[in-house]
Amino acid sequence: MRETTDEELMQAVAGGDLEAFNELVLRHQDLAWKLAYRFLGDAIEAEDVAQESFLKILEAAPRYRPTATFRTYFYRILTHLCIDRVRKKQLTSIDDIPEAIDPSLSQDEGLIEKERQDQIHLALDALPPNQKAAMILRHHDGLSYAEISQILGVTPKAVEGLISRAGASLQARLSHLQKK
Amino acid sequence: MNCKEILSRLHAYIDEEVPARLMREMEEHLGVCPSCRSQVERIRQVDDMLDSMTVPPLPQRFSARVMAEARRRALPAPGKRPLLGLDWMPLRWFVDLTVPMRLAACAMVLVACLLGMFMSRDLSLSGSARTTVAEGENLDGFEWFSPTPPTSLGSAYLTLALTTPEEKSVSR
Ligand SMILES: [Zn+2]
Repeated sequence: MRETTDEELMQAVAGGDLEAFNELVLRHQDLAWKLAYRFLGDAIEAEDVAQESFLKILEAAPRYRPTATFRTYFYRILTHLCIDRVRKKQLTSIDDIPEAIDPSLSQDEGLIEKERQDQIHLALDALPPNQKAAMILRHHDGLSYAEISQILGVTPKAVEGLISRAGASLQARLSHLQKK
Repeated sequence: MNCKEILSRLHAYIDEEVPARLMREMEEHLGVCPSCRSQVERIRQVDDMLDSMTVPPLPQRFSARVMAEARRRALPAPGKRPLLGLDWMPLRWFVDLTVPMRLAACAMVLVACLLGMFMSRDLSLSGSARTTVAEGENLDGFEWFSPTPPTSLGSAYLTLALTTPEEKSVSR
C-alpha cells in the first residue's frame, strides 16, 4: 500500500485528526530539531522553537493549501521562528556569548573540539539572520536554492547572494581554524 | 568570464546551481587559474566545518510533549466552556472557511437580499391598496380573527389590517 503523503496528512490535520498530526511530528522531528539546533546553538531554545513550529502548523492546517511541498512549508515556518528568536536575542543579550576557553587549559582533545564547535557557532551568530538562515539551509536536508528561496521568500538569485556573502564572512572569521 | 565574476559565483558552482553552459565555462577557467582554484578549496574547507557541527540527539519524549501540548490546545479554554457542555456553534462552518470563500458567501447573501427586494417591490407598493374590506374578510389567515368581540385586541388588529391607507387618512 502507498504511504500517505505529508500533504494528505496535512488535509487530515485540517479536519481535526490528531493522529495524522502525530505522524507528521514523527516524520519531521529529527530534521526540525537539527535545523533549530544549528540555528540557535542551544538545546532548550531549539526544542522550544521546534515544538512551536509543529504547533503552528497544527493551528494553520485549516488554511493550508498544497501549493508548495509540505517540506518547504514547514521549513518556512521553522526558519522564521528561528530568525525571530535570533533577532530578539541580538537585541536583549549581547553579553551572552560563551567564554573562550583558555588555550593553556585545553589539553584535553574533547575540550579542543568543543572550542572549535563554539568558534563555528560564534562565526554563524555574527552573520545577519537572513545570511545565517541561507547558509544553514544550504547545508540542510539537500535543499536546493529554489527551495531555500521559497523558504526565505526571496528570489533564487538573492539566495545565491546571501550564501556568497555569508561564505565570505565565515571564511574571514574561521581562517585561523583552516588548514593552510 | 574574468576572475571577479567567477569568484562571485563559486558557491553556486560548488552546489551545481549554475546553468550547464556556465558550469563548463567555469570549469575551464578553474583549470587554468590557480588563484580561483585555491578559493574553491577555501570554500570547501568552510563547508566541511559547517558539516562537522555536531547536533545532540533529539530530546527524549519530544513528540510526546508536542502531542500533549497539541491536545491541550485542541480543548476549549476552561473559561470559554459552553453551557451544558455542548459545542454548539451554528456558524462554525463559516469560521472554518478560507477568506475568499467567506467573501463569496457574504456576496451570495447580499445578492439574494437584493433580488428578493427587487422581485417583491410590486407587492409592497400596491398590495394593500388593492385589498378591499370585503376581500379582506376572505383572506387566508384572517378568518379565525372574525368572530371577535368589538373591543378585543383581535378586532382591533383585524380593523388595522383590513383598512387601506386612504381609509386610514380619512378616518383620522
Ligand atoms: Zn581566476
